[in-house]
Order: sequence, then C-alpha cells, then structure tokens
Amino acid sequence: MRVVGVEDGLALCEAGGERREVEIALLDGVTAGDVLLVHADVGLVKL
Amino acid sequence: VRFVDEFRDGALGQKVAAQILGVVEPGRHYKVMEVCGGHTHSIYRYGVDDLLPDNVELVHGPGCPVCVIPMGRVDDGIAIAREPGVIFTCFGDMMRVPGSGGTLLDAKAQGADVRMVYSPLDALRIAKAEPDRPVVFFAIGFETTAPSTALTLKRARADGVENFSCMCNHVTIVPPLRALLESPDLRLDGFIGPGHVSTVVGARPFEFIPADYGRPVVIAGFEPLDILQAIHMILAQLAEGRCEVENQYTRVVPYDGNPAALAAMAEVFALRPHFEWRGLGFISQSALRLSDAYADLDAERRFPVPGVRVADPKACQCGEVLKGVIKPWECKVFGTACTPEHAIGTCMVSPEGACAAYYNYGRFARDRVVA
Repeated sequence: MRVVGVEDGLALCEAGGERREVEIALLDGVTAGDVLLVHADVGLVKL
Repeated sequence: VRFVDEFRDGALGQKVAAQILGVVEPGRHYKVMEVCGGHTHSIYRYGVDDLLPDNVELVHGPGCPVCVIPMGRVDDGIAIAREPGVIFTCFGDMMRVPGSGGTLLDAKAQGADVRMVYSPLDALRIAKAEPDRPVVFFAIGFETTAPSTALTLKRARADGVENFSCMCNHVTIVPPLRALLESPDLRLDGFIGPGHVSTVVGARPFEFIPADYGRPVVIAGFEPLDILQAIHMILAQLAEGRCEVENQYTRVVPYDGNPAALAAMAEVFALRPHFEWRGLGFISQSALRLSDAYADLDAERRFPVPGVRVADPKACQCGEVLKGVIKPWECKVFGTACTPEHAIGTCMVSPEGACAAYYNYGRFARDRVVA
C-alpha cells in the first residue's frame, strides 16, 4: 500500500481506492509516497 | 502496478519454464513442497503448474493458518464468544471453520456477538468504542501476523484498554516443517519457502533443512514469476548437487528478518510447550501464548475454556492434504459434501487452503478417473 500521510505512529495508506490506517512501529522513517508490504494493518517492510 | 505487473509477464514465464525444462533429469520425479498457502493460491490462480514438466510435482504444505486450527480451539473460541457481554472478533475466514458444534458464524446466528475484523487494530478500536464490554480478539496466523497481534497488545497496554484481551492461536513454521521432514510417508526433494513469514523471521531459521535433511529451500514471492523462478532455483540446486537456503524474494525478505518485529514478538509472546495442529497432531514448541508480562490480556485466563481435544470428522481428510500425502481431489468428500459454501474441513474454508484453491480454480476433477 502507498503511504499518503503519517500521524501518531500510524500511516494512512491507500491501495486500489481503499484507505486504511497502518501501524508502522516496525519501520523506520516512513514518509508519504513510500510503498509498504502490509499484513493485518501492520507495515512489515518498505518496498 | 509496480512490483506486481512485472512479475506476471506471460512471455517471461514461458522463458523460465524453458529454463526449468533444461535442468530436470528426464527419468527422475521431483516433489517440491510449497509451504505457504499463499503460494498454493497463486499456483492455481495463475496456472503455474501447467508450465512445469510432468515429472515436477508440487506438493501443498501446512502453511495456511486457518487450515491448521484444530476443532477443539474453535470450540474454545465459541465458548468465550458465548460468555455474557463478550464481543468476539476474528478474521472473516475463521468465522466459517467448523468446531464440534458448529462455527463462530453459527454462534453469531444464535445470539453471540461475533464480529469480523481485518486487523487486530480493528478489534482494539471496538474495545475503545465499547469500554463497558469485554472484547476478545481470536488471534491466528504464523509469524506473519503475530507481529500485528503483538503491536496491538502493546498499544492496548499503553492506552490502558482494560476490556481488551486476546485468545492466542499463533503458530510457528519451523516445528511443523521438521515434523514433515521426519514423516516416513512423505519424500520431498525441496521446499519453496514461505515469503511473508520470512519477511519477519528471515531466511536463517530454514538453514536446518539443508543442514540436517539435505533438502534445498528457496524463499519465494507470491507472483507467478516469483514461484516459477524459485522452482528453477530449487531444481538447479539439485542438478548441480548443491543444497542450501536461497532467497528469491530479495525485494522483501532480509536474510535476518525484521528485528523490530521479532523484538515485539519476544516481548509479548512465549512458546507453548506443545500445540495441536489439525492433521499433524501435537507438535512441541510450535505455538505461542501470551508472555507472563501480558498475562492479564490473555483471554484464556480471563474466561473459562473447555480445552477439550476434538477429533476431525471421519470423512474429512484435511490432515493428509495438509501433509501433502494426498491431493485435494483425492479426498472422499472433496467437491461433493465439502465445498467452499458448505465446508467440512478447514482446507476448503480458507482461500489459502489447498482444497479451496483446487475448487475455485477448476482443478476439482483433475486426474480423477471417471468410470
């Protein structure tokens, strides 16, 4: 999913028109525009 | 779409298939197990096996988290769901897994407040919105989803959400692989390693497979070209007399995994001494419970659970399917009494289950002898 915004340890991500809040505690330096591999609303890795 | 389209290129797929043909010995039969249910799904969705030579057989492994949940654990979950006031949350496919007296969906129809969530964070949001009711999350999955549960429990603790708890059914991938390798009724030549699990644990935990059992492992992604390339890498190892762990999914999987995820898991979880797997029986140290530091968020300590072992229905052969001993269509009830709409076994419930993959993508009659 592509990150469109970051706030309070959560990233607002978008994929296929759907937007979800994703936990990014496992990743460093996530910013808007990053693409994340997401499982169960948790970002596991930056692609 | 970046990272997707370029891994679904049909012309490239034909080229990799030709390379595979170049490394197989004509007289030899190869059995390669894809460990992960996500791979099984992709293989049949895209027809990957149609591109393989006849003497390369794909065997489906136990890596579907819903499929390996035994009936007794479903009964335990339903017992908690029926406790007064409880809001019981779980992933959607889990709601359709049969226990001895029905599914969580049946319990919902009978009045229990069972809700589907896409994430444990959704369950935590419900707990915050309904502070007067206990909210339980039924956690399942391998090391892929365990970090999401761990982070949710850490967030619940940090935010002081006291009405939230978790029934932990997380399992680990290495012990069942070792059990399969010790199984006398299964001869495998190599493994397509689980890509998403490896994102968390890395490739290193699989080094025991070449070291102790002399079988190659290639960690693979989930697009058709990923899987084809991984099969080529396994067969090339066999042709060259090599045996090692290789990583095809380098765009996602670091060799040492995700240390932040592993640290969160180590803080929140502890290994259970043993855990029952559907079809595989009890396997030592193969599942996770909440650590003592998070015991107050453990639903199994907050609510009474029956904890009774329940045998699978006699007609159901999920166990043999999960071990790769039989193909789904060889099961007595496949496609007749057991369908995705009315599943008897777990392998037909989850989209990652081998039976559902065969059924949904039209392989239900493959090689079946018609009188």
